Amino acid sequence: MTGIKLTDVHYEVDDKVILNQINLEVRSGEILSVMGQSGSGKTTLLKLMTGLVCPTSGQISVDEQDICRLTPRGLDVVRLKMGLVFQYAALLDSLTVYENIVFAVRRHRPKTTHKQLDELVTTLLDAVQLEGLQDRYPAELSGGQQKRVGLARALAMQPSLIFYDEPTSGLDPLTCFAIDTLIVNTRKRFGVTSIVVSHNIPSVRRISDRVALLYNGDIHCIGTPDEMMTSTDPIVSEFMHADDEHLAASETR
Amino acid sequence: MWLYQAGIIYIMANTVANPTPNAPAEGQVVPRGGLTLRKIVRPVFVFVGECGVLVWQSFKALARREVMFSDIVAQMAQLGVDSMGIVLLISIATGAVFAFYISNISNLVGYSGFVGSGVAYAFLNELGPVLGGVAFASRVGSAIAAELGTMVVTEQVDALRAMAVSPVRYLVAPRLAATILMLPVLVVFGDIAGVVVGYYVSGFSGVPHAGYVNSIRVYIHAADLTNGLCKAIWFGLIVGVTACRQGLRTERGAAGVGKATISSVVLCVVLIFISDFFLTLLLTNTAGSH
Repeated sequence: MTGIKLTDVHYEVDDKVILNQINLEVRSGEILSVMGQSGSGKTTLLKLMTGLVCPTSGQISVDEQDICRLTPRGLDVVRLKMGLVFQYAALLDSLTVYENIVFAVRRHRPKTTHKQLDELVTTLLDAVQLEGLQDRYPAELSGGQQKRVGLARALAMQPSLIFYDEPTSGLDPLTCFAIDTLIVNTRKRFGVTSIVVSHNIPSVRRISDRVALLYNGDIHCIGTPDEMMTSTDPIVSEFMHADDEHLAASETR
Repeated sequence: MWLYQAGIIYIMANTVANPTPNAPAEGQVVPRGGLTLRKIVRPVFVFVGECGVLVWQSFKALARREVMFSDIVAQMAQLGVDSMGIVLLISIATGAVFAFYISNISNLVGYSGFVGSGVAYAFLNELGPVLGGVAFASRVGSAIAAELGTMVVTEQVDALRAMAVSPVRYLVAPRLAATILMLPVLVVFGDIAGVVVGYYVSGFSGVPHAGYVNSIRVYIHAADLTNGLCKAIWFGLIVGVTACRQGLRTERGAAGVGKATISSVVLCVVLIFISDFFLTLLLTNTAGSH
């Protein structure tokens, strides 16, 4: 299993600080959720951890390898251990669900037979409860289905580290619950380390071993979901109970 | 010469030392400045540099056989076959009009025996590759830029990178190979269409068919065809790399895709015409064309 460690990671664009001296360690096999307000740099943090963006300074280690210092080929080797589920799925829209799922396998393991690919697709679609949809194109799927195909695609290379970018945003509560269950089952079934970027508090409480709160470009607080919910820190408390407060305010009205 | 080189070095050094300043803060008053040499030269260097990198990486990937053959074939089918209709249509229309004018003027001055060679010479050396290149730039260049631009703004390119698949190997190299290989093929078909239509149109204008064919046999050489094909290969490269570069450079959603598409077509057409002039000088001097 794979862990990831960020040491003094600093990222700025056009002199604007997005992330400021981030220190974070994700243990092997755990589900860590990163929360924060919109625009707080959650997705940027995810892109840094996957090597899609380089930090201005600092070190990001995956299996004790600093990915910022790797050559493009070296980075590709590390990326084979990773799966990334995008906020809007980012499926290749000219390919079918089947082709999307086997895309990376075909390119990195060209000796895989058609039979093995068929079996892989069947297993993964079964895992994400989308049996029989392999011939559809992404445009023919709902948002929730696309996200599940995105998860199946991320799992196809059997990664040991999966990143989820707002996996439940814009989905109805039932689909949210299904996605949460999938994330937990994926960890159980494949033993992967999971990093989930989200601001859906019920979802985060359901799935996470630990929660990190990103505030003003920094990891303000990190702890178990229960610790975060009972925290007396005003910023943490305000964020974690924002839904309750708004509900109470609307009931008073 | 040394003065020219010194000028170029000065411009490059100035460009690196003084990059374009960031956008002014709200309320900040910025003195209005006209177009400076740096503002014009810097984007040119950036464009040439980025295109050069894309071409180099694509050729390297192709040489190392890191590009899947099926991807190249798919692109050749998509880009080449789909453009056949427009290239033939433009060649037929131009061939007809060109032959009509040449026949009229030739009949007037009594040189109708040169109509066939005139049409064929113009088509093989110039009209075929340039018209084909422009049609290809509008049809294929816009399609590539729009497709890659959409892939960028919908994070599909990031998804490729996250799957350890190089966008250059999967997206750029097959398209570049397809444009370089398919434009000469289209140009050959365009040449044939233009010359054949010229044969019939000049016939209607009173030019004898035998004279038309005979003048082609006598005055047209293999070098005319190879000159045109060299141009077509170069124009294919221009269309492929410019469209890919503009597509991959797309920013800011749907509006950005539109801008990338327009800039791709405009740049391709401008570069085709500019490079055509220099290629013509180069090829007529080196290939010994008449």
